[in-house]
Amino acid sequence: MRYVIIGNCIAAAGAVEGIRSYDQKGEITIIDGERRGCYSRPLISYLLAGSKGAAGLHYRSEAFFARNQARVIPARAVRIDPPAGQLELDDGMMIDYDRLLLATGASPLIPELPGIEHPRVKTLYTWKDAEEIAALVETGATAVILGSGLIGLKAAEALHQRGMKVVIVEKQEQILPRLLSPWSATIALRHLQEQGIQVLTGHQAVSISESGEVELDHGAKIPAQLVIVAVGNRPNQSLAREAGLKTGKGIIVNQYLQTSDPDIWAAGDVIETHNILSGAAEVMALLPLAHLEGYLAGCNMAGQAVRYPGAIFLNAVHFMGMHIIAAGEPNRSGTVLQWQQGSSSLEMTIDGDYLLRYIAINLPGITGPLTAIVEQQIRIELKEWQEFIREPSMASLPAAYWAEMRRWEEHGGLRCG
Amino acid sequence: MRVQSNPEYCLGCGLCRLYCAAAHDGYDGNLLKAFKRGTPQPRADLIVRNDKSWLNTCRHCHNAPCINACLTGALQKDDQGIVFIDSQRCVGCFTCVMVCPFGHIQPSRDSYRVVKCDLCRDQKGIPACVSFCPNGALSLTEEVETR
Amino acid sequence: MTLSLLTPAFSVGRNEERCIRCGVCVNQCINQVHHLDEDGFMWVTEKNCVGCHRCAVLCPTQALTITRFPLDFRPNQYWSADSLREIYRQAESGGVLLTGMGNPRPYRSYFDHLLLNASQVTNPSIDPLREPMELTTYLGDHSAGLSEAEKPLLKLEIPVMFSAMSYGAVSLNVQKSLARAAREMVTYWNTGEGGLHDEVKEYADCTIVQVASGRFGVSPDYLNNAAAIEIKIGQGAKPGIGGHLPAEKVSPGVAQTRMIPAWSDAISPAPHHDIYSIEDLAQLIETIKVATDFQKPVAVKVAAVHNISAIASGIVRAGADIVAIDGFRGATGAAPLRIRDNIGIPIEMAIAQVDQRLRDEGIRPKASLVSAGGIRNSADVVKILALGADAVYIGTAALVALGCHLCQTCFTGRCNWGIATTDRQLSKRLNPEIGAMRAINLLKAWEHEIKEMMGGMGINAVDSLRGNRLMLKGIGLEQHELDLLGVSPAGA
Repeated sequence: MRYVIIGNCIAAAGAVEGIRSYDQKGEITIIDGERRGCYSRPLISYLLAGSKGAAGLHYRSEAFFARNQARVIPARAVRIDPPAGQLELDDGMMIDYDRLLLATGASPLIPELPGIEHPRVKTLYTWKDAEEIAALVETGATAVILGSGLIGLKAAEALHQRGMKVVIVEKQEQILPRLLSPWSATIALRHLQEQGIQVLTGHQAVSISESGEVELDHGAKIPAQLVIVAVGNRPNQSLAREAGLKTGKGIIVNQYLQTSDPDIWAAGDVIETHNILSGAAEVMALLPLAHLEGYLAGCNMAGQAVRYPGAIFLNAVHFMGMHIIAAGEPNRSGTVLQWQQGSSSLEMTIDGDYLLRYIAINLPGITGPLTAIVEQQIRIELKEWQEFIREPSMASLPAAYWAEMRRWEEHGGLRCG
Repeated sequence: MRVQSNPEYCLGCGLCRLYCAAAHDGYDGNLLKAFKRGTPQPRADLIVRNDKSWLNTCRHCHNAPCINACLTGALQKDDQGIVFIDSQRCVGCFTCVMVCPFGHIQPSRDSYRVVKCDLCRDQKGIPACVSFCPNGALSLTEEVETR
Repeated sequence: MTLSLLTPAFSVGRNEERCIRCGVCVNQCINQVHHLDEDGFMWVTEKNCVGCHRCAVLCPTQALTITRFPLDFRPNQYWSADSLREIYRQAESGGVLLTGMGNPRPYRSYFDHLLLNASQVTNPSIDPLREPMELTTYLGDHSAGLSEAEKPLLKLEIPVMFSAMSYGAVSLNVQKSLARAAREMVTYWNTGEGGLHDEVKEYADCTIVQVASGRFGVSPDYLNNAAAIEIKIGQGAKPGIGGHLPAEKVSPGVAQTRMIPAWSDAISPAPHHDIYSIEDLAQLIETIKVATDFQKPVAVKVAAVHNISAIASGIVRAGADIVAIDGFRGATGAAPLRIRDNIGIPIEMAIAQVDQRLRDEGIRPKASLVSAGGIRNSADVVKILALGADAVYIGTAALVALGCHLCQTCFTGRCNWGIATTDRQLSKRLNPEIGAMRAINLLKAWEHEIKEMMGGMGINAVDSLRGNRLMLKGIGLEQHELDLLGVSPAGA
């Protein structure tokens, strides 16, 4: 059996583990378009900040791939020929496959702005990006960051640590709009400002001049040494589309992570994932899902039939000493409970007897159970949550959670995987 | 393989936590040195709830969500099936904390990394919590949590 | 009452160089002796300390020492510190002094004045590791002639049984521990008078159920769910008085097992109200035998009192298959201190006298003799068997094996070792798996030692030891004591 994986990132590593769980003999080939090995994207901001060396970026070492007998080819795939079971690389080489996994990931969105092609306008998405930005860092100079999502904030933190003045420009009225509620965003914003980062919400850039000056929609001009564009990502599905696979916002897969071609699977940031809470298929470009999806796809490529039940939105991010963890459905409303003490806070949205979403700031300890409660839709009455939120802690988690936990221990198995 | 906690016989004394802390971070089981000179941190917490208490330790899940979620590859499973963390590679993002359904993985005291049960894999013999439980409420089982 | 004149009985020492403020002492002491502030300040309330050592044993750094409170009264041979303190207590409470466990007074222990024989040259000693050694004992009526049907007997692989300790006086986990150990070692445990809890019914084959004056939990099922039935007339720790399980120990579990309302006092009358004579006793024995279809031996337990030999003779004649005699060192969950410390006679004397009396009357084979109260070790077992007992009951020794530290405050129900309590949180502290293992270890160790001592005497079967007073010599005893024990002095 010849397994070929396009992309050498988190999902690819998961797929190797999945395949090797059931097939020790098959040939595994990984097409590494970035030619950097299997590294962890979230760590590039640490590389930029200087807190982590290049050696620390690898998600799985070369030894891992050697041990699992996976051949890594540093090349970019340019075309898939499903009827022939072949793949064409940028150097003209043809690779035969029996089972193919598309783990092509995503790329940053680039808004159409005058001056966006300026050499000091960068994205922070790849190892190479981080190196290029690092070369432009100038202590004391200003860096403008367009977008206050996870990448924007991690970029802000890294550049701030490198001694730059950082200005974040966010189109929405709050920072981290996809992650936080207005209430929790205010808490996070205050923290950013206290750390010396300037944040302009409700504004967007309209142009970037030749000198690098960023002009905003209300006319303000910010002279910048460096502009980081971090306004979102988009799945890399051109290969899939050209090969005639079904695509939407991302590649469409069934519950076994199989595409419309039965010999081709897809995993990671490039696919549409079933959102357990909304029931819709959405692009959920989240690292924790990438490994699981890769792993399950790998298992299925090796002949298993393991279902992927889908996922919920969840994210953990920390910047400048603040830890934010949030999970659940941001777009549905319900009863909101809030708790705040010192620098910690917790917000929960409850609909009927179900927890829809939580946002925990500097309160990481209890988030694992909360995520499980959201994901597994464990039924817990509002009044129990009202009791819990008076003093949120492991010991005060509702009894129904512990009962469910005991059930898992006794009978084994969560609803996932 | 994992440590099983039996609330039926847990006294809530907390000796498991103490010996766990002293078994890690290079204290080599020396309680006095750990607690008099160091800043020991137990790998698993004792939960006291109404009249019951138990050690909320790692289930060392099959297809562990924490390993799936780890950003850096610091969380791994060894040949014996023990889920352990390579502290050097952990950046303290707490993604694993967020996805551990049992709430076992916890931030380190300085918040720069996470700590979790490693079944005392660096030491000889059975895990410290099991060997020092005064009432046999903790036991090492071969049974694996299926997830 | 204003100022209490009582000073603490114990002093709690904390080695500051060792204390790591872990709080284990605080969470383990139900008497709230230790306190720990949020800022790490620790202090003790010593007057609450009963000297049970729970904190010191669990302290992970051995930072704690418990010593007698070093406040001495002016030395007085007659007015001891205890006698003064007892008066202070009564002057404050106006009540009967209560206590637990057995008589601690310095009365002469005859066990400590008896020495065992060993073989030298003229007869060979036996190595129990190389040659078979028989400890199997059958308790019951051995008098059946060749043509008669055999009477039911209890088979013991070691002549040591666990004394009657009721659920209520001790935790269910104690009973579970002892029941498992009894089954493993092929001997018996005794329910005491508190009925039989559902969770220990599975041990029927190694259970002796008790019928006492309160008749708690007694029913045909109860009698038949056992290997033998014991009628309890008296107890060594409190001969002549009944029992009183205070309402606060009568938890729903205890209540159900005893068939009484929860949280109400469980009173055992001093006498059985249907037994005022040997003839009445014979009726009860017969009733029980009929109820159990003559399939189970019936034992009668009495305290060792002044005219014990005549009483024992009457009990055998009343039809008992086993006579259990409880000496004045026998323990209890609760007894008035004056009763415990001043009533009864030593078990060594009682067994020697009863064995002789039954032999003289030719009725010794009709019943087995079980010695209870004060057996501390295997040498005590060997000595009492040589004085005439068929087997022994151990209570205190068994509880010590499970963790009891003899603090003698069983009657409070707040036993830090999870033994003399029915509190759910405290009962947890005794894991019956560990308890059973420890009780089994104790019996196995004694078994080895008994065999070693028997081997040394050149005896290879416990039958040859029973009543074999030639194997005993008295040391430091007066002639009348030697005569009563039926042994000759060392050197004679």
